[in-house]
Amino acid sequence: MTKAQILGPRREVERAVTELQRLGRVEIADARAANGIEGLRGEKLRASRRDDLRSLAAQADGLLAELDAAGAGQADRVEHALDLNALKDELDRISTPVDELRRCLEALRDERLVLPGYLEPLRRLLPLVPELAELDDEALRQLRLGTVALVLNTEDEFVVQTLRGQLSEELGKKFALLSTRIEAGAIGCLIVFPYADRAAVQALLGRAQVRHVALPEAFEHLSLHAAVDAIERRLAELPQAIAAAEDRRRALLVPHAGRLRELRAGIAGELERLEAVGRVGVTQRTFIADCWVPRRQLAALREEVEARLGTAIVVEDTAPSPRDPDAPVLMRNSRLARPFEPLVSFLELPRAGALDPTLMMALFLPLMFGAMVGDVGYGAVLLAIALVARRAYRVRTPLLARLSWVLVAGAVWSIVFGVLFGELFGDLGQRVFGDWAVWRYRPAADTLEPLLLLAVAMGAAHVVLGLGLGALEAIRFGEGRELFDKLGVLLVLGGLFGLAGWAAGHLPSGALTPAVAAAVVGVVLVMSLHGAIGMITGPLELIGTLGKVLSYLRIAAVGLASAHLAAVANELGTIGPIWMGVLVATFFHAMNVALAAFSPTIQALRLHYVEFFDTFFVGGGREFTPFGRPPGADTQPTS
Amino acid sequence: METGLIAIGAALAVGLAGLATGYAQARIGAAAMGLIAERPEMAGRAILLVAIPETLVILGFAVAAMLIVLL
Repeated sequence: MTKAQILGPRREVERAVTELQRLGRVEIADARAANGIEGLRGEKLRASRRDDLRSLAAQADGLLAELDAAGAGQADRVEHALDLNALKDELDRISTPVDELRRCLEALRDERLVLPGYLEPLRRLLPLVPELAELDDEALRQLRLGTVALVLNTEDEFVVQTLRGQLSEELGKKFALLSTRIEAGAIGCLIVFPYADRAAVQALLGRAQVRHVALPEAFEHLSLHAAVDAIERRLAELPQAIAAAEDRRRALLVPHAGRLRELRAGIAGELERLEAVGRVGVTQRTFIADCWVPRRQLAALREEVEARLGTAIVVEDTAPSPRDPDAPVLMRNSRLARPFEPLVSFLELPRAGALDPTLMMALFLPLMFGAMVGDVGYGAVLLAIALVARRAYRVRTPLLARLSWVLVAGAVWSIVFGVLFGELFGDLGQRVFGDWAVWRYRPAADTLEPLLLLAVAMGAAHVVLGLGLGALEAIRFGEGRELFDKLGVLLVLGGLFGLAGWAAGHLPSGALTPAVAAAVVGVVLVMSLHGAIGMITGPLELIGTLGKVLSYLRIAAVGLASAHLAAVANELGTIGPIWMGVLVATFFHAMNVALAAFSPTIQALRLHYVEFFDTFFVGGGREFTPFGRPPGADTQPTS
Repeated sequence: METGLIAIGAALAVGLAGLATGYAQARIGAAAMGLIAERPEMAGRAILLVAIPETLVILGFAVAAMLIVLL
């Protein structure tokens, strides 16, 4: 990544920014502070316009969200300055009927939530006053009677007795109070009283701070029976009414979907331009735009700027430091390694100028996955799943389609290790073909030791490779202390491996002295680099590195667990009739394949993130986001 | 008798290390889920932190394997 400085006459600044947006090749940095110059005048006006545009963007997003549609998408983001009034009118024209329907929908949904709350108390109260329940308001008035339904949020009957006492004081014996338990923590009450005392009862309930059940207006004047029936009918009608309103809203929006996306893209484009213009620096006669651009695209940028803007505008390479902390990062890998980029950026992007570990991950992650699964049958099943997933997600979710390549590579290595271990759906291959392992069958009693050694050897190679890469990076950037630190750890590891080899009888006795010397020199080197505190931190760092190597034992552990589970599945399959055995074995193998897809992936990722990356990876990078390309769009340049 | 004691020792090495790992992962995992809920972009870091205590059980496995292989 390099920083190009685009210079030109001040009057051309708007046109230059618009053309840079069309190109979609550069990320515009703030040129004002970097060059000690002022920005364009009118920042307040631009800020106000940005606020207006953001408000319209929110309105458009709301409408698109109702359609479950994506936002700006890939539509053309470069337009001339938008007419905000016309844009607002157009959005209002679309949104006014939609808002009305939205309000209607909200009311219907509220009704669906609220009505059951009335229904249950009424149902419980009906049997208490069967005759009264048949009378509506008018009939009750003719009989000179009034009723009030209450829900008391208590289980204590004493509250009902207190209410009865207060009503007695107010009305004497001219009332009836009936109560029943509605649900846990609630008592329903019905008071019947002379219509003339309605005001006194309401006043008493008000003083006692008791709320009565006020039915919605549509049901208010019906008899209790009729109200219950009407609420039940309404509740049955509501789902259809809601679905019909949703259909009407969709029918209103669908014809405008394309235009809404177009408008949203236009708004996003102008917002981007306004922010970019704010970052451009100006002198009395010239403008300066600082642009991050991938180094290999600089020549193409020069040609395109000259072709589109003329020779009055020039592109200068400022050649910043490769490790400029402000520089954005664009990962560039071969086609085979590219599917692994999301796995690296999932942790964090490498810092500008630092080594991109994607290729290393592409080489070792599938290998470790395969060493853990290590079964021809499981590998074949996973390969089939990965290929189907790739086909299924190619259009809908390109990221998943890319990641399916990771599983393809892992599945191929699983088949390779399956041949080495002689495993086909566990010991099924051994049962049918005899011992066909090219190396060793994992669950065999004498395989544990070599399997552990294989795992440790893989760990040692991986960690040593990481330390070597770290040392190379230190040489590249002239970091002597970092270099000697890595070399010290490498010497200690080399010495310890030599000692282990000598102890196991694999190395001659002459190897002992150099091994001890390497270990001692390494320890002293690591300790001396950290000053006085290095006496403690140095050995701790070395123990940590040994722990990293031993951590690769999980390859053997997870692999052994998978192999034993597969053997158990086959053993269970032999119990009972054949059809049942096939079913049981298939079920357990399916479970094991699911585990095999999940657990080894997590373990292999962990070995990379924690053990491998820790030896050389420098993270904290910021993603390169070219001006004029929507977020998430492919950042590979297009002509 | 001796084989049985070795087996018990190996089981204790893996079992106790597994319990310790589980305890540590439970505490870290709960905090990590809180972190991811507030800042989803930190998911990678959170998984890394959750994965760190696994080394304990792997070391337990190493000790158990040494007991079985060497004794």
